Amino acid sequence: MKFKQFFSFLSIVSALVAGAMLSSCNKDDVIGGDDIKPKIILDSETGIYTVKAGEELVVEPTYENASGADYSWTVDGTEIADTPMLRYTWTTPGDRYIRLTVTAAGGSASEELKAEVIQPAPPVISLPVSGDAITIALGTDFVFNPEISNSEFEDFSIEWTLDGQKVSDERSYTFSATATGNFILRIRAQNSDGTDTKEIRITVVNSLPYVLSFPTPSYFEPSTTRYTFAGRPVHLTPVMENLTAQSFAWTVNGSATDCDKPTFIFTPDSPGNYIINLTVDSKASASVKVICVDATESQRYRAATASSSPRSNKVFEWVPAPGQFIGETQTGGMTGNETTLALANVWAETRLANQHYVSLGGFGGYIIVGFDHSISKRDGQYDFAVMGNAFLNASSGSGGSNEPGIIYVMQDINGNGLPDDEWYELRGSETGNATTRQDYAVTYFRPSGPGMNVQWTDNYGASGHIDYLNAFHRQPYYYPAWIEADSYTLRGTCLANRTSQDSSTGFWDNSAFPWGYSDNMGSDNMTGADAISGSGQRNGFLIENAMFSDGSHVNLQYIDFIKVQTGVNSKAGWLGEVSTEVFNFQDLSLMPQ
Amino acid sequence: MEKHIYLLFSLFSAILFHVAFTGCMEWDYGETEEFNATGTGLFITNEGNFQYGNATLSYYDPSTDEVQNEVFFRANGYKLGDVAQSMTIYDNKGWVVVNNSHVIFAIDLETFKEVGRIENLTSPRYIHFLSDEKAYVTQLWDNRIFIVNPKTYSITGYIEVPDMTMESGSTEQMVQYGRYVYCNCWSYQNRIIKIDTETDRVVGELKIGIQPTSLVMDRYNRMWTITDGGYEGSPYGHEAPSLYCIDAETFSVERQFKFRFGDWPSEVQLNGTRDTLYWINNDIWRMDVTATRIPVRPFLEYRDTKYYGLTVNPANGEVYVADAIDYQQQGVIYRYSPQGKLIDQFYVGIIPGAFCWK
Repeated sequence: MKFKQFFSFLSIVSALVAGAMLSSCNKDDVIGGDDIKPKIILDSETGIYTVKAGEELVVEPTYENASGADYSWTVDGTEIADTPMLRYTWTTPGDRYIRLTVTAAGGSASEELKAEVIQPAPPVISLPVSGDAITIALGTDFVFNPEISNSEFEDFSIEWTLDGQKVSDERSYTFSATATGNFILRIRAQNSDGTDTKEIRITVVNSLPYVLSFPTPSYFEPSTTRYTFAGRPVHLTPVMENLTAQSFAWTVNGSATDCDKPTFIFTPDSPGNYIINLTVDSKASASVKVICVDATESQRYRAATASSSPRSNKVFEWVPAPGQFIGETQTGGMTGNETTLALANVWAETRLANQHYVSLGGFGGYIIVGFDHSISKRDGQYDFAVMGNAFLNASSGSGGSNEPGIIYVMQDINGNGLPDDEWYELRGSETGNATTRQDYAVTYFRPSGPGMNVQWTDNYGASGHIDYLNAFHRQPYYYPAWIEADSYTLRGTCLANRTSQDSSTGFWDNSAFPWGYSDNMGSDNMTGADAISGSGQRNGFLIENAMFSDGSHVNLQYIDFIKVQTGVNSKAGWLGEVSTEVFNFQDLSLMPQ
Repeated sequence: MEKHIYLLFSLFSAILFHVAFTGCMEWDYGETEEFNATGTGLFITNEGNFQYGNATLSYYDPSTDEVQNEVFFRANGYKLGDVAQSMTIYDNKGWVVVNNSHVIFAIDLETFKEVGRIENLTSPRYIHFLSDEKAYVTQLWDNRIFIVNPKTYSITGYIEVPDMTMESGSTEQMVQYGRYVYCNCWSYQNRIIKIDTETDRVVGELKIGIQPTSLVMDRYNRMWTITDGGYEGSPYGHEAPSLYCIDAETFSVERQFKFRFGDWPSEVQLNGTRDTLYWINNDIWRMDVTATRIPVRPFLEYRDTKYYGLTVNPANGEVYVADAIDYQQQGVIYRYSPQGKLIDQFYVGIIPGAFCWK
């Protein structure tokens, strides 16, 4: 309808012009008067022409009063044609402004046009597979469900071949491992701009290889060594894959223990190094070192001084999951130079210093910060606060935007100033809830090309993707540039999401959790966090809520490091992934009241 | 998650809602400064971050290139509040609309000191003066336009907008033609409404595209509005936005210029002689009000940042563009000659969104 209105308007204008032409005459003999001046009528309503690099652009205007006219098409002052019609080919993409000038006996007319020369867009295939090989167990199915960019064109096609034989032309393909051996799966995607192919070497084995290891305290920390004080337990739980996990045998310095559980609670009673070994199902073994430091908890305490900052002063690791604000240079404030962990940490540190948000991306993304002193536990008062940007919906006082961050704390047990010690999760309202997964792990895969969703798989057999939001955040990649590997796994506690869409209004809500999480309007949302005071939204936390992995209480007198990790794996339509944002970390004992 | 947009469209939340109706503001009084800003100048309202109460007012003197930031706070000793939306001058006072503090401050134009305030507004956006004793205040999240008495700083009545709920309520900018005030309805709306200022009733509406963002009246008494077309995934729909020319006399669309699907234009403005339009669509665009198609070349090219506000000096045609950068740090104002040459640039507050010429 609107187009019709516009069209009819143009028709009216044309009619008026034509009428004026018919009714007037060149009575003053003025050369170039409106009635005899040439007129250019473009074959585009907007004057904008889109063409692919390497393809010929054809512009074919019609003219009036142009008998015997001279034509000139120029770009930046250089003539590219002198004919009524333009035929021209650019080999490189970019915008070109074209000036068309028509000069005839009655005068001249000129129009500026624009040629948008765009890059050809062949398809790009991206698969949630690390490298180009995959091993599959006999008797199982594996679904290949690639992301393919530029597949929206009409002439797009896809073909799957297995050992040279075509097996499908659908978007996804299910490989059934019916016999052991090696297979070559080839995917070929094609559109009018080109072709992309990917080959995957599939190995089918009778049973998948075992994986048994102990996790490091963070993605960039290479050591699995654990630290504790004498008398404080260490909870040791391995990461296992492809094991039936029916039997567990733990040893300490070669001596057998009576533990036969997946988690061994080891309590050294004196300083020293302890090698803990685990054998699972009598098949796989792994070791981890536990160092019981020769110091007491109070000896490691770093008291605040008069010059101590109430706010965190150091970012040790910013490892977000992929997300719409990762690598975002337009509104996300990044520079595009954050290509190493050190540069990313410096960027995040500056952001927090200015109380600007740092996004942790989807599930598992985290940031680790430290202070210039230890934050002491206080009685009956929140010890520290984390600023976020949660809020509730208007009339209902519920819903809104809550993107819970799980809080972990650490003491600098080994005294080296680095967060390579022991993380303790803070208890929250969802701790112990049957829907809370404390062993959740998501692996993210780097997309093969720009502008693509980031695919993920989890350790519960699910898969999905962090959506690329073309309308809002157009940086090429949402995958952190400082993660060198083509896939990475983030582990932590995952809450059942509270994402919902109102069926009548279509609005998305991420409802709040009762308490215990940052970026969340729980009961621990601190007073004063309102529009008038200007203090922003923040949650208060108690060191007293620190716990071991089994939920039992750990008595910490102070902490040195805080980690916040996005605690749900969810997305809310056009709003994208649910991602915890942090703005600031505060030692409340030092904050001005 | 995309919170800026989320904030913009769907939320203005409960916390503030109840503050609006139950709370009285506790302003943190501090020391004050004396200003004496004589002559012409430009006010810039800096929205600040939603819920952070860090809205500020800046003042720029084009003759000296000097900018003074946080002039409201410095002159009065208390904060402006949360989300400064717009400012209008009337009766030799500046009327600063502070959206999420539910208040309009009237300030002295030379000292910037408060001379009065209209409180208990829902979520005010713009004020339009009809006389010394009557003005309209548009609202977000309310289906009523508030009628206020600027002399007594009081709310005197309401104009109910038909077919609008509190949740989808959005009335925005106003222009006047004779006894009628026209107002664009933006958030989850698609219309211009016509208000009879004698009866204070909505007497007509014109349906156009999704979410008309702004409204001006050119020298030929034609209104111009620009829709943003909604956004991907919006429950209200998403379409190619358009620039509309609407005849005020007949209240009908005279011309429509379509943008590309996915564009998000805003901030249609006029120069002082009201014959040249300006707007933001990634780049800054300029077009004669008699043109039959949009130029292919922008007036000012996109600078890989966030153009958020726009104004034209009515006296000399210089163009001022507000850059919100990343919505977090202090914004920048770029001042251009009518030929598009950069003349000056200066830092203001967080999220500079609107201008007001003195």
